[in-house]
Amino acid sequence: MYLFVFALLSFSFSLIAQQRQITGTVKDATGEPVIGATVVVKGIPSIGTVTDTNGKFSLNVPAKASAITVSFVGMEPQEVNISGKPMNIVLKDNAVALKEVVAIGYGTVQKRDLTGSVATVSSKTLQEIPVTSAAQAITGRLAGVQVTTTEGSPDAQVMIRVRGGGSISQDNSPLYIVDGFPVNSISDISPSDIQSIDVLKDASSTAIYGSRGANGVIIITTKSGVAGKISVSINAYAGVKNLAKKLKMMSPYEYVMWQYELDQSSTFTGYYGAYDDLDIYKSRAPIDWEDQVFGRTGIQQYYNVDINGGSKTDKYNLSVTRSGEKGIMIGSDFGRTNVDFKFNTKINDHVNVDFNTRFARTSIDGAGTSTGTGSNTFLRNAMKYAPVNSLVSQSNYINEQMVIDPTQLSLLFNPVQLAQDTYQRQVKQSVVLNGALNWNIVKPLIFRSEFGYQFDNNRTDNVWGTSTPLSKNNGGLPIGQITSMGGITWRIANTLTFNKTNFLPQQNLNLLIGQEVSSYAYRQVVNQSMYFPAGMDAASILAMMNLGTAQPTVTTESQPFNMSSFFGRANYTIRDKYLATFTFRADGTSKFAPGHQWGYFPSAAVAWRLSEENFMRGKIEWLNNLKLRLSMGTAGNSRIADGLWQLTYGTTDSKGYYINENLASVLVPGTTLSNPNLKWETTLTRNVGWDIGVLNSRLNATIDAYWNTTFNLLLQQPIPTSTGYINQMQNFGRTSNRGVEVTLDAHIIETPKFSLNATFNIAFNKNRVDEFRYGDATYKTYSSGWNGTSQPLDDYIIQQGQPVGQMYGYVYDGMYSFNDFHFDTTQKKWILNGDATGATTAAIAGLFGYGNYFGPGSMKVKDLNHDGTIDAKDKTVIGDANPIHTGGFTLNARYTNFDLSAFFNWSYGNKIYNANKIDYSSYLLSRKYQNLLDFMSLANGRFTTIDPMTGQNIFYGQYANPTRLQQINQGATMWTPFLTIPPLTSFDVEDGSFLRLSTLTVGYSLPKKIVSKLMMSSFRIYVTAYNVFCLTKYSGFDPEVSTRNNPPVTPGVDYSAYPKSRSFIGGVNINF
Amino acid sequence: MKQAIKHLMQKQLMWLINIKHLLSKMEKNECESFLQREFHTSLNKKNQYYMKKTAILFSIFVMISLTGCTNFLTTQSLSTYTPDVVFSNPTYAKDAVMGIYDLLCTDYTYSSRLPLSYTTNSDIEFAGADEGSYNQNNNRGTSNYFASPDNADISKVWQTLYQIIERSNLCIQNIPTSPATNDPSTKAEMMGYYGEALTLRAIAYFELVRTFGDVPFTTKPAAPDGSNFLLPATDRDTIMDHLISDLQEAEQYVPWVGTGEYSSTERITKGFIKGLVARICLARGGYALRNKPGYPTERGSDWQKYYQIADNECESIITNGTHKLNPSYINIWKTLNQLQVDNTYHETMFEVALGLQHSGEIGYSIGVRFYTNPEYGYGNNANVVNTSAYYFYMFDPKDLRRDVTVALATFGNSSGATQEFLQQNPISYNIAKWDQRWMSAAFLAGNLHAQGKVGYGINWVMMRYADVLLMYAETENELNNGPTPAAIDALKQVRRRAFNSIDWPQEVDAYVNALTNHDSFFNAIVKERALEFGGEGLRKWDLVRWNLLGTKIQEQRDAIAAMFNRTAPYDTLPQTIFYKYLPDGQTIDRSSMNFYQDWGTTPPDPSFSSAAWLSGLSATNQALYLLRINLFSSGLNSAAGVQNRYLYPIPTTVISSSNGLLKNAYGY
Repeated sequence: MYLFVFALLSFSFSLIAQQRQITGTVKDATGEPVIGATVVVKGIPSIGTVTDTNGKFSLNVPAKASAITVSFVGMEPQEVNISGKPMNIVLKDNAVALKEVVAIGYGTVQKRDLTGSVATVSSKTLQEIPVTSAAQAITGRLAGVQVTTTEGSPDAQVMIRVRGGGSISQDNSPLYIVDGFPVNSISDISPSDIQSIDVLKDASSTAIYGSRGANGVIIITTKSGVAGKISVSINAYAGVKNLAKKLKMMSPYEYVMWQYELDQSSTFTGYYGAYDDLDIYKSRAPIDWEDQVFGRTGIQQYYNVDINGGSKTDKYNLSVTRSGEKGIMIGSDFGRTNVDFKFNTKINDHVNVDFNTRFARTSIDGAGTSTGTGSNTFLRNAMKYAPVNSLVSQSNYINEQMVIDPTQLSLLFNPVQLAQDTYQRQVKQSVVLNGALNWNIVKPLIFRSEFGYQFDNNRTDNVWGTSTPLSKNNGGLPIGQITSMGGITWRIANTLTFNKTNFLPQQNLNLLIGQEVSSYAYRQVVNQSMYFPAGMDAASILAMMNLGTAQPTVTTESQPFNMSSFFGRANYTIRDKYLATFTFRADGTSKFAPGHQWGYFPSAAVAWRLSEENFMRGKIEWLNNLKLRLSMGTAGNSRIADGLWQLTYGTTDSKGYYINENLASVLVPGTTLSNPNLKWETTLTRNVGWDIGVLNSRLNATIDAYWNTTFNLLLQQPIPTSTGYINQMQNFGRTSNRGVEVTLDAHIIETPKFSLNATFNIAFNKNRVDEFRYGDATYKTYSSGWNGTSQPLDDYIIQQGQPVGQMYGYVYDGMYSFNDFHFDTTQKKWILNGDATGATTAAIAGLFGYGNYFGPGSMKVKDLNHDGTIDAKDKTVIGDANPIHTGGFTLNARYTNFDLSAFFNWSYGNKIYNANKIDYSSYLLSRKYQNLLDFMSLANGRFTTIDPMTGQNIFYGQYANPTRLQQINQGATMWTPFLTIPPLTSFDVEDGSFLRLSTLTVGYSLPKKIVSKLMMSSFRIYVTAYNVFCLTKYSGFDPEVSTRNNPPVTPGVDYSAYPKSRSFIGGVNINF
Repeated sequence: MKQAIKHLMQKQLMWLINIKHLLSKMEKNECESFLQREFHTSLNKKNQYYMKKTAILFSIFVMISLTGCTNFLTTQSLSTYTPDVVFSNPTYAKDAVMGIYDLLCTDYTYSSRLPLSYTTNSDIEFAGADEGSYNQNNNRGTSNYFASPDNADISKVWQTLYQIIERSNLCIQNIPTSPATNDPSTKAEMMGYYGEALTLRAIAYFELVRTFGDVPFTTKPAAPDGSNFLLPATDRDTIMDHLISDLQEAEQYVPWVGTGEYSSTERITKGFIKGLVARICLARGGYALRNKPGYPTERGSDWQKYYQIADNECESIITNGTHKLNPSYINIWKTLNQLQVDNTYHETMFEVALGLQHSGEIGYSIGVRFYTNPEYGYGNNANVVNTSAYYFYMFDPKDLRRDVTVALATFGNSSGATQEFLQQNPISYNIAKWDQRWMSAAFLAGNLHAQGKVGYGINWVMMRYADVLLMYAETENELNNGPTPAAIDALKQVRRRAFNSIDWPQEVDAYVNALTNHDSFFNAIVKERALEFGGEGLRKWDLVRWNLLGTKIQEQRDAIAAMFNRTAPYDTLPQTIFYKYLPDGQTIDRSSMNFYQDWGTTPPDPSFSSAAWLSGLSATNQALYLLRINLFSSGLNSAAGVQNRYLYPIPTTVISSSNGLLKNAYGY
């Protein structure tokens, strides 16, 4: 095509008289010549040429010509004044230009014209560091966007919060829009397909999405075809990953000593041997279950081919991605295939059609670590399972077929066997079809109609083998289950845009009106079959479910979630200085009863480019851009379960009534009382922002301050259980988030050979519950529930005037000393000094589940109200899961063909509720034969109740010997872990601040000359390390954790998360 | 010109018709398919004319969406029904009533807590515990009257009972107004369900008032606007009055067992409703701890009135004859353990139909103690309900019920042996009515491989005909200030079954005939109910309504002490017990044992094994057991000075959500 243009242009030259010749060289930012760049005379597009293989051009131009325009696909066009000398022109990569266009919902806007608060990650950034997911791509990069990967597993849930999140009880995830289509999750978007990510933060930007935009909007634009050029790019990487951190558990000897302390009966001694012989366990190497379960070297692979091209009328982009991961946990595998196709065709000058389709298939093997309820999860089995087997002959325990092993009392399961025996395979497939018709009706009027359809087809296969708890509770035989879920989402949107520049002199107007309807529904079938023959393998069970005893099939047809919306937006700019945006949206939802279905969300924003004012322009040389933005608006939230507004009867209930041992069919109402008065939760946001560009835009800063208030919170309120229900969804209360965000972007050095860029962002957010009532009280406690329905309960509190995420417990105060107690010789137990009746002692012992082991050496907490006893009144706020600030910074450097990029992110001031630590340092629920963390070792000064000489329990009862007890525990520093119902204390609340070198990449690009000989346009190889180091005081696996988020009032709990890994990969990017 | 206008009008009309057509489609919720079709058509046709038409159509959609598509936003799941559908026909209405029954099978109702943890402690049943667990904030503590308002299980029991009430209230509100109830062909069926719902609600309220005292009371479903969320406590007498009249209405609608779909007593039938009226009347007319200053235990007003109602109801059950005594006491239990329902005698008047592998701790938390062993598989935790030597020695040696009720041996031990082992601890006997050796093959197949608790599926019997006979004997004696011939006959019927016919002259006729006045007859009833219903969850409530709970529990403690001290009447009991195994080598032969004779310390012959018994136990063990028996139920007379505090505290969560309307009393 260029040749054609060249020929055409050459032909025209001869016709023009009075010419002069100009020459020049076009190079890119790296100093490489740009071959085939188009050079035309400004104002006379018919006169032009293209550069040769050395980037040189020469052109005869009319005498009156003053400037030329140089352009090249993928680069920013440039206008250069004609001078007499040979011209050296450096073209910048187009990426910068792309960054300037920002998606704002149903359209785009130039960044300079933005009135709202929008943060962007460009494709350039995304290219530099290979990421395995879209969420990873934005982690720490955007001010005010907090991304927490809740666990280390390949399919971990990613929690994204834009400016805190206003709702107390509802999902605070932002709205995800991929190519204009709302999706539930961005986890199945192939990262190399992403062109850019824009995050809308304030209501004036999100208001166009109305109802669903209250928690921010993340807009992902995937790559489109570019006219005129076919390019093929290949991205591939592979790497290894390993467990990043291990926790040290007690040694075999310490373990048996602790078990002996719990139980001196024949159950223990029969298995582990007599007390005097326990020394033998000192010589035993521990069975490292942690290593056996999580010690595997994971392997990551990623392959992507992208074909991109098109003609004047048709553009397309086809991308195929295959990624796979072998997790660090045995049996944990992950694979994903994405096929994306995007096509745009011009039917005629007025009409063009966009079509894109995405197919994703994800398979996840392994049940992860959080499987199981309460304290019955995989991780705890791997940590707490006996590190040593009995060294005593087991013949006493073998009675024909059955071996009685006291470790069964632990209710733990061999973690390796359990992982191997718990078969789980999830296959998720989705097909997305999006089409859009653009019709330029007359010059300023554009009509666009979008249609989208998404099919989801998920299947989860489970087989619980004979060593799993579920099987053991059901006759000890395998159980199979197949869950099939099919979902359909469709959406239609129509918009009409009126866009007129110079609508009035120097005034631009952009008007948009639109309408949208969408619907989502799914159907699910659960088939379960039990009592398969022992030893039958998972594949056979799933293939022959009839061989087991079939359980009732449970089918669910969801209530369709339908929405209908109308919206309009007006952008008005005057002389490029004064910008205003008004948005209005009306949303109707099927979540509420007729009469409450519609919500109305207006917003307004204005911006003032001070740098364009005469009093500024040119007056301050170093200041290139100064813009002030102000916005205010509302957005709604209806993200609650369907059907909460009316009473309905379902067909399943927990236990079943078995007349003549046959299950009776039932129709039962739910446990949540319906509420026909439910209405929209509304967030009012106010934002003030500055955009500043200085030193020739080498340094750009964006500063935003905001104050968001959420009204009519949709809150699952507990109601008196005498109603027959547990709770009811209600509109109640008010929360706010206030904060400041700063983003800095510096091009420190920019030369052809060497460049150094840095970006920095920091966000401060303060969350507050402005209005809260529960009955008469202005607070309510919530339970994170990591230990099921057992203690610690009520470990979080929501209080009016305080933030969400306050940990509520006792203030740790070391351990009780011998001075606190006296020994009651008649009862043969310890009684607190000054406790005449023994009632206080019994109450505190009962509260912690210390039983008769309450006395010197017990964990002590502060009696805050000084009433002489410890009870719920002594609980206080002992931690806040909200960070004071979070952020990230990136350094990008390039020297000739080498590039280096380092990305750090941090969080400061948040607390973590280390539930693992509670579990691993107590006698939880009186389960014996569980190991503890190493800090509980006798060698580390644990208080002991056993006389080392005699092996007798001298703490209480028959052999009680207070003097001797005091003597042997003189050096004790660590309380005794006899707590069976451990409370939450400040001992378990830890500082979660961290600074992580998240990624470090070194790349090398082959010089253009070599590359072009290889018929490539670029070739880069790189190595990246992830999670290189993490500076933190946190004692658990990783400080970036939050495992109990439903409802989102108990953030920051670390319990049984899949441990994080450190990985190293090497990869290649090739473009043809 | 005219023609042009006509043409135009015709065109307009066509459009209007089109729009109307569209609107009707919208109303049928066909927006989706229509829009899809329209969109695809528009894609296929490149012609600009069609484009224009499409554009116009789309703008029409905008208008339509505002008006015609209102149904679009009102959706419903096909997997659920709204109440108007549920109560429109007998099939669904029955399912809704079965949904109430369903809640009887949770761990917090009759699968475990109510019959096992909440009916103890009495003098003959108590939670097995040691000094370490007697006052813990758990179910054993609750059984020992040490419950704390923070106990999570109490709040779940409260919640589940009110869930039963709410489901019942929905049925009770909707069935009478249903078209199926107005239809003469289905009216009887619908009203039967109505009667069952009334009864199920009464069961739940009765459990609430006897467990907690005065509680919130409503007969209307919860109002979503919150107008009836907050209810004060209603006096238990008022509630029971309401229940009695509800049940007397219900018994008119529900037939006797064996009629139509009411083929077994796993459904509520007329006989049970009548029996329940009697049971509630006796509680209403009996003693209760009152929420008054000083928390006195007082008798309900007009007790004779209620005893008369109970008397009439029992008499009508007896006269009707549908329910009879099973001639063999042991077979009642064997049948239940086999997961079968007695459809011959219908002695069990209502059984909660628990499901094997799904629900039921009866047999697991109560019954003969089994250790895990190769013959029967996974062991159980039968020490949730224990009994003692006091109860064992309460039986006449010839009473056939003794060995069916008290288990003096465990099966197996911690090393997995497959034989019985004598239980020497006299306060750690089990209840023998549930025994893995009697259980079904299906249970055994599951339990053999099990490594955890399985649902035992054994139905919980809420009432037996023997209870009706003894209630009748009691009301006759009370109303007439002495036993009537009918009362004497009822008591004799129960005792006749308890003894071999050879013993009848002495143990039935002579024994009962000697009870000539009110007091002696009453005392015999008190004892007979203990002997007949051990482990069946009736004793505590009987002792409460007689105001004998504290007295009898103290009698048990004194008896254990007397046994250890060898004082009368236990001065002739042996210090060493001798026993032999049956030829199967597994079972201890009860007939070989010298329970009542002191044979010294030398076995009669070498085939006997021996063990220390009661006063022969070591001083350390005796002291320990005495400590425990004194700790058991010691919360009954609270540290705060409240006597006879058998009521449980209202859960903290309930109080905190009551907006100050509910408060705990009785020193909690």
